[in-house]
Amino acid sequence: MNSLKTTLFFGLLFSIFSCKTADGIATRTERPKNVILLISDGTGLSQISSAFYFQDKTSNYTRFENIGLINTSSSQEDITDSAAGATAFASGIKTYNGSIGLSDDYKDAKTIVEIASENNVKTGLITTSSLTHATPASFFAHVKNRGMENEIAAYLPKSGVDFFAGGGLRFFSGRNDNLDLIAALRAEKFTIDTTSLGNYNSIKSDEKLGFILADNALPKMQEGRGNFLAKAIEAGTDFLSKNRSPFFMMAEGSQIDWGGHNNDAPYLIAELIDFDEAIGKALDFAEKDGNTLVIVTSDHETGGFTLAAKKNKRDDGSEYSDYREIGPTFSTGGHSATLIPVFAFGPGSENFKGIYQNNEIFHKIINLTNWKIKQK
Amino acid sequence: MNPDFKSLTIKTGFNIRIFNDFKEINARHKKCLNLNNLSLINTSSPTPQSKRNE
Repeated sequence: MNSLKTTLFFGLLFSIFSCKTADGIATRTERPKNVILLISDGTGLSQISSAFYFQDKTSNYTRFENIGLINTSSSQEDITDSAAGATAFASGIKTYNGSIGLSDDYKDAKTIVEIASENNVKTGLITTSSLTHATPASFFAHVKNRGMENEIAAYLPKSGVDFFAGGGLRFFSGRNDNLDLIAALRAEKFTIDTTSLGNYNSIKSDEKLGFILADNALPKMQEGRGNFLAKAIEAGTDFLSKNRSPFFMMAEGSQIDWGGHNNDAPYLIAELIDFDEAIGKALDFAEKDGNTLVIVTSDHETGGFTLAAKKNKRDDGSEYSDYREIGPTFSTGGHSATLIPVFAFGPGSENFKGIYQNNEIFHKIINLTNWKIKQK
Repeated sequence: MNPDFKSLTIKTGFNIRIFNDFKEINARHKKCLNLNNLSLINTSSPTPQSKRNE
C-alpha cells in the first residue's frame, strides 16, 4: 500500500513538474504588443476566493493558466502600503511606505507610463478611487508623501498619460490655489468629461481622453457605481488601440482594500466581484487581439480576511463552526504581509510564474516588451 | 527587512512529510525539478457547494 501511495505521489508530482516545462518555458521570448496591468488593491487569496463562493457565475480568475506569488514588503517595512506597493509595480524599485514614485533617497523613479510614452506606446490609467490616490498616482507622479494629492494632480497633464478614468475632481478644479488643472489638461490635447463615460469615437488618435467622474472616489458598488470599471476598461482598450497603437494600461479596483480596512465583508465582496467582471473585459480584449499580455495582481492583502466557517449555536446555546456555510472574518483593520497571487494571460505570461518580489513585475514587463529606458 | 524565502519553516506534520518526499525526488531528479508551476484548487465538498446554489 505504501509503495502504491509513493508511486501515485511521484506520478502526480512529475505530471506537474515535467522536464519539458522546466527547460522550455524559461527561454520563450514571445513579446506582447500591449500590456494591461489590473491591480485589485488589498486583495489576497481569500478575497479572490470569494469570487468562487459569492456569485453564481464562473469567476474570470479561472481563465488564467499562469499563476505566481509575490512578496510585497516595502524597502523598510515588512508590510507595505499602497504607495510603496504601486511604486514597485510602476518603477521596479522597493521604496518606503508613503512614497509616490520616489526612491528611498527621494530621487524620481521613472514610471512605466513615462517609459512607455517615450517608446511611442499609448498609456492609460483607470481607478475606482481618486486619480490622485496612491496606486494610480504612483504611475505618473513623484512626491514624498501620498497625502500630497494637490501636488500629485499637477503631474497629470504632462505625465504622458493618454487616457484616464476615475475620481478626484476636487484636486483638478476649484482648488484653493486657483490652479485650473482641467484647463491645463485641455491645453495638453485632453478631452475631459466630468459627467459620464460617454462617446469617445470622434476623438482623433493624436488627442487624449480623460474622465473625472466624482469629487473624491467613485461610489461603492453597494451605492450604485454600476459597471464603471468594466466599461472604463472597454473604453480604454478601444481608445488606446486606435490605429493599432501599442499600449500600456493600468486599471485598479481600489475599494476592495477599503472593504478590508472597514472589516466590511459585503463591501469587500461586492468590490471583488466587480473587479472579477473587469478582468473578464480585459481578457475578452486580449483573447480577440492575441498580442496583449494581461497581468492581474494586488499591492497587498488588507484585513487578514478569512473565509472561515460561519459560527452557529446549538440548542443548548454553545457555539460551533458550521462547515456548510461561510462566515467571513477579519484579523486586522490594516494590511498584512501574506504573499499575493499574480495571474497572467497572453504572450509572455509564462514568465510571471514562480515566487518573486513585487518589483519584478515591472522588470518582467520591460524585458518582455523591450521598451527602452532613456536616461534623464 | 525582507523575509528570505529559504528561511521559511514548514510547520505542519503533513507538509514535513511532503517536504521529505520532495527532497528525495530532488536528489534523484535534480535537473528535472521546477518549482515555478503553481496551481490553485477549490477544496469545498459537494454538499455545501450544492446548498449554496439552492
